[in-house]
Amino acid sequence: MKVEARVVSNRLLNPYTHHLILHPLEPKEIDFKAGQFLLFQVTPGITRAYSLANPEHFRDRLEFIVDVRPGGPGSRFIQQAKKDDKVTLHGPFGHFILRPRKAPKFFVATGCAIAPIKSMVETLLDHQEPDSISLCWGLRYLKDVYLADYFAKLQSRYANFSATLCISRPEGSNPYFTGRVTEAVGSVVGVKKNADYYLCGRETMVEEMKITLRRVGVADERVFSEGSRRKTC
Amino acid sequence: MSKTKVILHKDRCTECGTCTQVASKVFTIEGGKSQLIKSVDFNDPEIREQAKQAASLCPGQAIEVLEDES
Repeated sequence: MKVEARVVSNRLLNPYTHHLILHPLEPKEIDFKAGQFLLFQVTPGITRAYSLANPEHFRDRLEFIVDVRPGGPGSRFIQQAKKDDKVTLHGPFGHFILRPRKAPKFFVATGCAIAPIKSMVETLLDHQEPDSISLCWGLRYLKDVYLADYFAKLQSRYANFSATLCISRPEGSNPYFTGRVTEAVGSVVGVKKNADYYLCGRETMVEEMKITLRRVGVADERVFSEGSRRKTC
Repeated sequence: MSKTKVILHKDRCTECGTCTQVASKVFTIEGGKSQLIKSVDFNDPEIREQAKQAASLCPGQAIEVLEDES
């Protein structure tokens, strides 16, 4: 489906991560599943896929979190997008979506792959999901950190939600977990065999998590993933 | 009579799966990457249009639809 939208805002979450919000003009609402993405028509012959970061119940708002360090046509498009610009998109697409199953949910993300995970977490909380929802999110440096206060507020508001921010190379004193997400899942949060795992981000993290989860007895059918290569952040 | 040929450059595939959703009669997923479905008649108008749409949307520009007018 072709979508015409207007840029509402484009702000920086850190020096290279954009938080882009669009308002759909035609159609006026987008029916999508948390975890899916839209294709941006960045030039007449080039598209780039970016995951929706807003929850399913926000159908008239399209939110994206994009790392522009790759510097390609998608990055340039996102950097240059300004208020009231018109944007053409296609979709939604993607199979990395929530499975309708009663089970604790465990989300593991790195970098801007937090976008689809944010959509999933907010969708579950809006649906008053009774099972526990755990999030481990990895960033490299303290100066990269964004949305920490947001997830902390969600944690204080929802008793069944916990978020662990992991900084792999902290510069100085670190108020968050020091290490990679794979270490946090194993040592701090703990692996639940009866949980569904949603992994999104660096390919190495996804592969390492799959091996770890399989080793501790989590069934493969409980593990869902999407690597960053899928999207040219 | 034109002949349509579809080429899938697997090294450019970003594994987004868009092609399997817009051209389900042309592409499938195997081992996480897109694959051309065997024995597809690319000269079928519906098939050809699906392949062209997939090519136009592919973020990796991994799909080529070639028309041989000979």
